[in-house]
Amino acid sequence: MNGSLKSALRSEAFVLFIVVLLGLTTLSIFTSQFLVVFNIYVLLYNIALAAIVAYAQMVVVATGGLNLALGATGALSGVIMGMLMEWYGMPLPVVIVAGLAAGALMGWINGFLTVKTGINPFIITLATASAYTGTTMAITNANPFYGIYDSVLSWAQARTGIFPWPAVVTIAVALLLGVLFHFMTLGRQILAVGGNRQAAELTGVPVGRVIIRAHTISGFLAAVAGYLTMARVEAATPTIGNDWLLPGFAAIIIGGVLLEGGRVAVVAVIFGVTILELIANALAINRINPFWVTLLQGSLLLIAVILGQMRRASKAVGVRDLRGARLSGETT
Amino acid sequence: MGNGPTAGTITKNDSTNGRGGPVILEMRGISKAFVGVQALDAVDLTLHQGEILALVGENGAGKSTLIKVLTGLYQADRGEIILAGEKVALSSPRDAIKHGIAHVPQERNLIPFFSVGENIMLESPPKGRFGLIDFHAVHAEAAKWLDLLNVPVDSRTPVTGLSVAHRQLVEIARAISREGRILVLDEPTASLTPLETKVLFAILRNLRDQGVAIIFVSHKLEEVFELCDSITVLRDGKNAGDQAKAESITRDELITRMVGRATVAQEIPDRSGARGEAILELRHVFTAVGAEDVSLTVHRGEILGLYGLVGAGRTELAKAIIGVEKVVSGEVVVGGRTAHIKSAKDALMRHRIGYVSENRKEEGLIQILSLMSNVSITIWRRLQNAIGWISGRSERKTVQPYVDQLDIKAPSLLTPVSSLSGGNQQKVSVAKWLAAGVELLIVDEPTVGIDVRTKGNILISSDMAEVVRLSDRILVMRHGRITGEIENTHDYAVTSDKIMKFIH
Amino acid sequence: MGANRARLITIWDRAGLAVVVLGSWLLFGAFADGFTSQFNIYSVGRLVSILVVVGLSQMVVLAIGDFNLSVGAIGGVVAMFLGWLIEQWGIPWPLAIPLSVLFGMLLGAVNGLLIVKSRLTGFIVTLGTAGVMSGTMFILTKVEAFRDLPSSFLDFGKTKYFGLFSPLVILMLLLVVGLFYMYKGTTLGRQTLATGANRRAAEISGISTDRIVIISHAISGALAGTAGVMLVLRIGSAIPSIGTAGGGDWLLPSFAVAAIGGTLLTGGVVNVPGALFGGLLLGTIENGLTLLNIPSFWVQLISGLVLLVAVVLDRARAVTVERSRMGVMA
Repeated sequence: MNGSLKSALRSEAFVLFIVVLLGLTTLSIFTSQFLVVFNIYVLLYNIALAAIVAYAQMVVVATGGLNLALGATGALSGVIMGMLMEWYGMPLPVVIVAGLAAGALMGWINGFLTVKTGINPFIITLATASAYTGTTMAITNANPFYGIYDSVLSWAQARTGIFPWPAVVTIAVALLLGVLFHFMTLGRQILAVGGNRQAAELTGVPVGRVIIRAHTISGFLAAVAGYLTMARVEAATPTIGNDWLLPGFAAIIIGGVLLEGGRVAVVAVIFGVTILELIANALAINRINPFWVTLLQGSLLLIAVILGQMRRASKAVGVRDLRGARLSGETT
Repeated sequence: MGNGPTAGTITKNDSTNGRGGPVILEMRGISKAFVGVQALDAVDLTLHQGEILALVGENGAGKSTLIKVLTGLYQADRGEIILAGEKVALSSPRDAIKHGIAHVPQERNLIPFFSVGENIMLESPPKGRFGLIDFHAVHAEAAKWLDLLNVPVDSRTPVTGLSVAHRQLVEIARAISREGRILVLDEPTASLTPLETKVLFAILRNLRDQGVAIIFVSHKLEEVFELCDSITVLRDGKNAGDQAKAESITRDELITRMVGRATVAQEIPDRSGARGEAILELRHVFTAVGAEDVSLTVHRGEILGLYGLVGAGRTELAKAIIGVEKVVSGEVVVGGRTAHIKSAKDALMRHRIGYVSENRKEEGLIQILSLMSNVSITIWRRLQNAIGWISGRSERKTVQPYVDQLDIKAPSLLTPVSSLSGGNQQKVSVAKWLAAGVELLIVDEPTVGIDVRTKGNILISSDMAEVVRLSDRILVMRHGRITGEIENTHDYAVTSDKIMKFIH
Repeated sequence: MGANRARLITIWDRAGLAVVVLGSWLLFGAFADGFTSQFNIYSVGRLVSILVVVGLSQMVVLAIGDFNLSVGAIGGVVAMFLGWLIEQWGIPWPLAIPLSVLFGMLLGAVNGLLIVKSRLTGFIVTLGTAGVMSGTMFILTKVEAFRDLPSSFLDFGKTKYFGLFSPLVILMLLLVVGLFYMYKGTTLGRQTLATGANRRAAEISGISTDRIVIISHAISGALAGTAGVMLVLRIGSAIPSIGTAGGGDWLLPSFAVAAIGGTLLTGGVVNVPGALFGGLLLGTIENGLTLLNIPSFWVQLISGLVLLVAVVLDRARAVTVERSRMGVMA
């Protein structure tokens, strides 16, 4: 076997793939309603949506930061799009562009504030999240927009057997992110900033600009997820994104993305998402209390993160040295 | 930037037409202050094309600060930088790079999950179609530089898998590949073997002969005299004398300039006779951080010197002794009894062992706390009264004697320790162990002489003169192993010779 | 130059926030009807007390440079635990309250243990445990509230001292004073701040930083639980959405109160009186806006903006502290 095939087999993504296969097999055997066309369709749709949310978080985590305003961004973008449709009847392309631009802008604000103030993005996005949510509430007065265009609705319901056509968006996003992080300068710079910010800075990477761009992309993807959710539930509600935080993180951590930054995993994240959605699906089919989902997501997050830690501890010379650990005495 | 090395130029040191050219860089009157400390005070530096200039000084003299000003990481408060006749403002590292200044910092700065090749070409990787990075070209280009530096590593290897020395060489490759006009190297040979150092020096000489200007920061004076054309000395943030040609200054003069006083042969009491019982013994100790089969003994009343170059593993060994790093096998015996030291708290409370970290600022002290708190940190529990309260008065009363004993100069006990000078900070770091009443004190790379003796001392140093002056016995360490043991007669020539034999 | 700036920052530290709070009182006093009524002061007192304790529960974790995302979850769990003890087991409430707070402390200690054993940051661990705790609680309680609490309990919750102050205020003040002195002059408090300022240096100096982490998280859990109990006293029933949903998500306020009060997000510096004023500010704003009939989501928005502004202004202080923290190096 040649080298790259061997390393692919040993990679984390492969392990997750096996877990997914096992899960699918188990469910198919033990639950009669699982292997039904409609159920698989619903499952794939859930995966497609959750994947975009996970990707939106991943892009920022790659720089070593995070985006707590993800859900709020998705909601506000969705609401803006709903508003443009219901109140102003704008043409669909305008609506979509406006919504995505709004998401990108919100992401940009997060990045800008993070870089300019130097404050931890946790706090920044915690604060902007409530600002965005507040704005959403102000626009909607807590009432959802129901006037979604038929063209959007029918597109959202379109499918071929088990395959939901909106999943094409997810596939496109995954491909683009793959190219971004493997071959494009911006993507490599994002990983460099997350991997060793000081080194990146010393080597001339425009750290501030890169972080802002990462946040902008994140906001944009959140808006994409917001649009898809809105299309699917047939309303632009202010509650979109309320529950994106935990599963978003759980999925990327299961997928092997490091919280300190410097590492992404486009394929593995899909498997991470799949595992989580399989569990949710299995619980739903068996009519188990939906709060078990939260419980299990939290537990899986903890398990994944602890396993990742154990794996790292067993490696010899750490990443610690590379991030600027002193090898000699103090200097001024 | 250029196309990479071509075969003809790097083989022989025969072309000298680039040497000793016109002035390429002038730093004039550079001053830089931080909260309470004047790190640089009107420093001048002149660099010519085709010249290797050594920048020397003790720890804390200001070398790194000056370098950081030159490479755009800091901006000077006063003074100017003139590059090829033009005044420039280097407001960021990116700026400095654009002006052709390449920097190999002292600490490793590589991107962990990237390959060697990508780290080398990080700033401007070759692009292919659609503006996407062409990794074939990246690795092809990087391979050339790796070959040049004789690094037997495949460009596609992730840097996490590399040895410490190879990582340093990768960073040097990165800087050289920029083919800038000024190359700044900060302690580049810290983790290199003598052979690797030789190769590096040959390349540096070659670059110099082609007109590159090189600043070489080092405290290894032998290397300075071997490689450099001229020398600038810093002391306490100021120029110590004018820039001089390497030929025109002797080693002793250089040390005098660095240290500020003539080194006088000191009266060291002869201790080779009386030797107390063993207070610490290591028997075939292996640690999780690189020590291999280390056996040593520290006797009551002696100072055991532990000499080695950076990367030898002395600090890691010390940290294993105090329980911060793990002992994987072997025995640690304290006061005659086997000990399992699980944490620094264990080491202090149960075995009365203390460690003065080499990294005073970040590991040895807590900068936002006061001088008093930094000294009392080891004895808070002892200071508290019946209801758990620590009274300011009792704290002051307890701490003051130690401050006096070590002659720590500070406006008051409540001064934030960050505004003390480097030397005083070190004293504070020692004081807290004295206050705790340790029996064995390990001092790592002291910058100022330690006049204190606890029941036993381990002195870790890479300064040969210091080790010979102070230790009763000297152990030489290399790559995690003890390679030799010397009874110290305090005769510098003889002892340093013996040490060198064990180092290589 | 630096000395003047430092002095300005210290003055702002001491007086600035108090001035802002005073200003907000004057503002609302002038424009909001009923703001200065006895009943309203009583109301604000209760509201502020809970906010302050929530802020304190985050503050004790910020002290070691960590985050606790499970403050809301613990608050909710403890609140339901209290209701369960009283209604299901008939335990007299003067006993049930301390037991519940102890339970909160236990949950916090579990967080701390997980953090220490896994060597991960509090952020990700508490994100996970929050989900586990919340999920478990909702499942066990079947999302049903405890509304049949004994009248003595309810009466205690409605007590008014001098017609103005609720016992909740007294409790909050006791906690503020206690924590203030803890960080000022006890070994535990100083070791905690040392750990937060520089964990490595603290460890080498002989402080058991693992123990400090666990204790800090345990105290955080106890405080979050206390806030949950206080909220039950205030509302009169134990409802499952305390801390996470209906009772108002505690995540933002916990950080806002602590950060506005001057506690650094990077650890090592806490401002206990500041948390008191932070809670006063946010509580006043929430109360005032309600009186002005402004919809509640504006409160959330404004809290977020106040947090942003406070943290940005705070940055000036933090930069100076950071600089001195690392000595000469920036």
